[in-house]
Amino acid sequence: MISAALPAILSHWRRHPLQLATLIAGLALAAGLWSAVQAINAEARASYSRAAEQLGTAGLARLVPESGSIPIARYAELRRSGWKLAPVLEGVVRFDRQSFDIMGVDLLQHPNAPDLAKAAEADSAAPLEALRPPGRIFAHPETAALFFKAQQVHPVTPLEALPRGLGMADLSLASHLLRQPDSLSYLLVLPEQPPGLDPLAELAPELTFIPARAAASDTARLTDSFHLNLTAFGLLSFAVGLFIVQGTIALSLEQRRGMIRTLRSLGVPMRLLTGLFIAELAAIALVAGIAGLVCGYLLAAALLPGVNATLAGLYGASVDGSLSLRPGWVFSGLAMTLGGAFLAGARSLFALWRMPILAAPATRARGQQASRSHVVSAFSGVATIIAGLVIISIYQNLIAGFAFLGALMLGAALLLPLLISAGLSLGAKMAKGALTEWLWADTRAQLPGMSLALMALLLALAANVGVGTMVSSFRLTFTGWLDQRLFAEVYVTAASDAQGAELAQWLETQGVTALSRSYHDTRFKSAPLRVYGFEDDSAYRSNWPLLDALPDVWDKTARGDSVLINEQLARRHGLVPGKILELEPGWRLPIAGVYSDYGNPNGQAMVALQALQKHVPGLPNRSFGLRAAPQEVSTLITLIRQRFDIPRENITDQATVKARSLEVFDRTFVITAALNLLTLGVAGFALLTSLLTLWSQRLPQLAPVWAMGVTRRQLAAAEVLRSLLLAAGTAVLALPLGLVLAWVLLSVINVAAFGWKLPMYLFPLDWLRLFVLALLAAVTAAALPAWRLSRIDPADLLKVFANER
Amino acid sequence: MVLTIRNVTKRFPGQTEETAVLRGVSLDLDRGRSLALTGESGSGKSTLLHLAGALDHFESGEITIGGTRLSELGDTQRAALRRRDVSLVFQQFNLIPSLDVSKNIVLHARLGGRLDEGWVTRLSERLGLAGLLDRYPEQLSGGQQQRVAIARALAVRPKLLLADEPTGNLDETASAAVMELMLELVRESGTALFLVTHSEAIARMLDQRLHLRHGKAA
Amino acid sequence: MNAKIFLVASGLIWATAVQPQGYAGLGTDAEGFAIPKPDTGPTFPADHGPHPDFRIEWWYLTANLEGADGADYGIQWTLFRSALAPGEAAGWQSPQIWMAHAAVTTKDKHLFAERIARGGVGQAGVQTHPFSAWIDNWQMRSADETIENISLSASGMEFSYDLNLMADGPLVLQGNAGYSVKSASGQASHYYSQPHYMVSGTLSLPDGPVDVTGHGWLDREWSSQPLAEDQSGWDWFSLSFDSGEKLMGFVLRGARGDFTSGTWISADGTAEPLEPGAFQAQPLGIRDVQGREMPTHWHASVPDKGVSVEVLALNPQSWMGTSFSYWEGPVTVTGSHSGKGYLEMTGYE
Repeated sequence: MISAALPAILSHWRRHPLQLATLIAGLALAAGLWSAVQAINAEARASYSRAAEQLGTAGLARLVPESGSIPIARYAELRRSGWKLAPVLEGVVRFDRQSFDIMGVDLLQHPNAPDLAKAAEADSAAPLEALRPPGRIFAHPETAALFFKAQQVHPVTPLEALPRGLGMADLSLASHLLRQPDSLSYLLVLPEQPPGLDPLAELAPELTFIPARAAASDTARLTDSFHLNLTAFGLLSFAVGLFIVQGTIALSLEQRRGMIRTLRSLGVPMRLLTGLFIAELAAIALVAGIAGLVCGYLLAAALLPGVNATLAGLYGASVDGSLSLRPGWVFSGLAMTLGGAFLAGARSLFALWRMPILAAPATRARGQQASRSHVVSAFSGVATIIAGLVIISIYQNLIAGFAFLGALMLGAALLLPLLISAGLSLGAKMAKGALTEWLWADTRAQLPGMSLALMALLLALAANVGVGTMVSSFRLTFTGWLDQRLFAEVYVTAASDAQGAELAQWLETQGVTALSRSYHDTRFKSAPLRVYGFEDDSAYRSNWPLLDALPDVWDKTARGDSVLINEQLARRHGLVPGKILELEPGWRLPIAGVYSDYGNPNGQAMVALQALQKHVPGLPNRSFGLRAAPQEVSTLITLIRQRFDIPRENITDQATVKARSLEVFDRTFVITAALNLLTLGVAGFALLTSLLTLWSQRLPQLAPVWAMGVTRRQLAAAEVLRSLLLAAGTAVLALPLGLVLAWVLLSVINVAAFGWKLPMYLFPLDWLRLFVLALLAAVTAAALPAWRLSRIDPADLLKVFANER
Repeated sequence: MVLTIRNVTKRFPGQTEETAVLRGVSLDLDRGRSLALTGESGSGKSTLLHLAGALDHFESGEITIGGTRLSELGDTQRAALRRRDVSLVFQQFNLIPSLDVSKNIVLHARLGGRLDEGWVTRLSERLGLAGLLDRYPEQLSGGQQQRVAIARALAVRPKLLLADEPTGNLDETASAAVMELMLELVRESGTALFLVTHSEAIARMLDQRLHLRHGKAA
Repeated sequence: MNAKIFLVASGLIWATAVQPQGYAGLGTDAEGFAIPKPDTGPTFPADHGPHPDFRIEWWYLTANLEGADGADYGIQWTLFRSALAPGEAAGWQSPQIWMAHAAVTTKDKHLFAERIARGGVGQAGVQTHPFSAWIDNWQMRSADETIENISLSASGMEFSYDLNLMADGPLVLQGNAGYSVKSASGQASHYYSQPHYMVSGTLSLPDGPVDVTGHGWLDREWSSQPLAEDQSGWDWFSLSFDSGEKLMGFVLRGARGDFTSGTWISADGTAEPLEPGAFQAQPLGIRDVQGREMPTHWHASVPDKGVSVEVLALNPQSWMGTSFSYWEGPVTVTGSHSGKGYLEMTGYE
């Protein structure tokens, strides 16, 4: 029986190859975008955990100081209490004007010491040589090459297992390079501890114990928001893809109702038929899933450099450039496609299951009936938005922010049919000619078949407006902030402290104001904190981007009586002016102000230079910002270079710094732009497929009008116009939605993800561009159906009138 | 003469001269007159009707409507002709589901730029549609829908009304009533009626008759 | 001269096996390091402390103990110092590396642990006022600057011990007034011992705590070049006879012939260096130890002193599987003299 029924069922596709193609393409698109995002996320996560494992700390708990660092005497005490701990000192070292992260470890204690030893041996270094001057730096081969180039004093051993961008060295070298002979950043708690030790909480109440998993990866924690963002985009694309598919599946079943009825009359049981349709859908989904995975893989490979740039720009995290194929990814991608296909086909399959053997084809909801479903949909839309509002008003965190965004988008999408329908009614009332009146009414009648595609378009457009506004607002704010923050005309870094002092002295004789840019890296509540020492200068008072401040903020801070902190630190720990910040154990200062510090994932503070020097002996003082009249900048640079042996790269003028910063900023959002465009593309495709799907249902509507003397070309033009009308209406509604989206991104998501809040700016020209883009998508989507219509054989139209149908 | 058909031949793709759907058919139909086209299924009735409605092309012969030779018209001119001078009524009614009854009735007339409100009102009353004007087609019975279709066709005041089994979907009582009304209105408006039917009873109600067999007048 | 130590210099975690010229590379010249001199006798308490100018040094304590139930136990507590360069410096710049081994041996168990530390940061070291040697929470501590009365503790994953040691006799200077020659070509070390400890305390073993008493023996030795180039390992005996006499003797196995030496300590603590060759030791029984053939049953003799004894390991599997590995364990003595002692064997690969 199966062998008889199956060919009949499948013959449908031979007659409707385009439908089959649409179905496969839609599913493949959904699966492709989703799995691309998954591949990127998986790659990034694997990369972080590789990095964490590379450091040998993935499975290790840590003891971290509340603020500042751990004195080595404290380390010795804890060791003498019996705990097996491995000391780590982290910091940044500059070689040849390039910054390197240095991780200093005790090569005799660190869990990864054997790997380092092996690498050193392979590098034909004598055993234990790395413990003695000049020391030895271990780094990933790529980073090792940079170290080689930047300095020749310390031999460098390449080691694949190390994360990029980091130099590992024995503490004898690291403490020397970082000028921190007596302090440590944190202690690793080694896995095997002898029994009967006193608890660490009693022995070291001032240190925080961070369990292994939480300690595993700062990077993963920092970048979670980014991946959540990416996942949201992926899910959006997947949903849009399912919109496409849902209509197609419904149509393919509806067109086979006659055949189904015939087969049932011939005695094929409904159970078998339903089973066959399910098998058919599964087979199609499988093919589409495989195609989607291939697309997804290629897409992910293409997007990965952008993702990398984003991660590097925002978080300083790096992802390996290559993509690896994971079996889990393949299976989850296929499962997602199958699941999605059945989700999209569920209603149609259920309707088929329930179909009485002799009933006439159900009349499609049109006109008045459709309005009722629009109202129901709108009600659920409003309910969804209200639910989102409730969530965001209760929780103000990242997940709640995304939940609100999701609710807002979904709710708005559900509201769309009613709004468009109302708009079309209004249009119809104002229409003059018979043809235009028909066009409005007919467009409205078509709405049920188009509404899913329009929802997709709405979401894509809103996402574009929202994300675009966010990025542009960010960029504008960032540019303004750069102007404020980079007020010195020249930035120079001396090779040594001695040269730095000499330079400062000489600059004074030249009458050039040199503002020190010394800093000290420490930790606050286990997260990195950089403390800058600044010299009181009117430039700070007039330029520094303060967001919130106590009266006399600069006087107090310049005296060393208080501290300024960046917005990230303030938001993360609920610090406000007036509260106390502990910079180092025993060094507590009231907070006098909060300044904006975009593009920096970490906490930062500013104190008077003298105060910092007092608390951090031997603070390097080599970096200066120089004030000079703009026309004297190049002369000044030349003079400094003639007088001091400072490489060209160590002297940068303001314009260059700004240009570089903006370049980094722009690279950061490449991936966002790409995903935005893709989503819009998918929405355009959804529009196309729904128009194609409606095609065969359209002829009975069009033929009478044609018979009444409307040419095929006019009908084709009407088809394009209709698509434009719907897209324009959707775009108009997408604008306010996009702006709300932008507001949420700027004021909720950004705060939760990065710790800074941004003002919102409006960019009407971008909207116009997007509007045009939406219309373009609409025209493109309508082009094929319209072209087919303009060339249709009258005989095909006449079939509509044939008596025996 | 409103409609003259001279020696018209029509072939669908794949058909030879012998198996052509129409082989040299001719007829004349004058103003206010009605003609019943009968024949078995597949004899070419509907095809001839479509040709007379400037909906399709023919290979040879000539059709003139109100003196205009169809063979000389392009797509746009044929459309213009259909807008003003020819109306159609089909078995399936083919109303526009998105427009209410009143808008359906005036649609063709407005497309042809020949809307005469008075005439439309009268038509609606005569066809018993006055109370249904703000309904949508899906809310009407088959007989009501066909009366709307007739109203729409006549609202144009066409020279030629083409009807293809207009009562094929209706029961006998409704069928007779609709036919009588249509004939009455055709006579009043001076329209020529060209009607395809397989019903002997209906054929007898009309002035002239042409029977087709295998594409030829019998 | 418990010697395994040597590899500390090049071994540790970087231990890359045995160089061709000798066990763990100790046969090389001592560049920049101080060289032991025969005419500088030890001074106390200063020489209880470290000698950072010498390449290697150790505080090496073994004890033969007996539980209340009559069972035999042995413990080891060793702190090694190894310098990557002569001298001392503050913090992480210190060239000194410390390593310690601790073990408890019973008839059928041998439990051991190891600790490693950097010098300069306080994690490990030796002080003289009062005397204290430590690494992590392992300690050998005195209340004053002598080593007459010390407390000793160490712990591993499966054991720990806490012992008190009281000296019942004078310090013994090994070799020629503390200058101990290690080869015919003149390699030597500074070497003194305290072999007269009375020990009491508690061992914590997997089966529970055991109160023990017995005798302990501390060796202090420092040098920069203790092995000749052809020497590949040694067998070292420290034996305490029931008569109150004690014997320290070693065989340095060399390609150009074995070198033996030792010290005879009479019951009153008087030490008498043995001439090279006066002490002899021959394997009697070979056992498989962790895949190696090792002599855990010996015949040892000092004909001059009428000593002809069999030395039998309490637990033949007393293998120290540490960064550098060796055999170290308690022995029982029978024959012309009876008693207990410790045996150490290195260089069996």
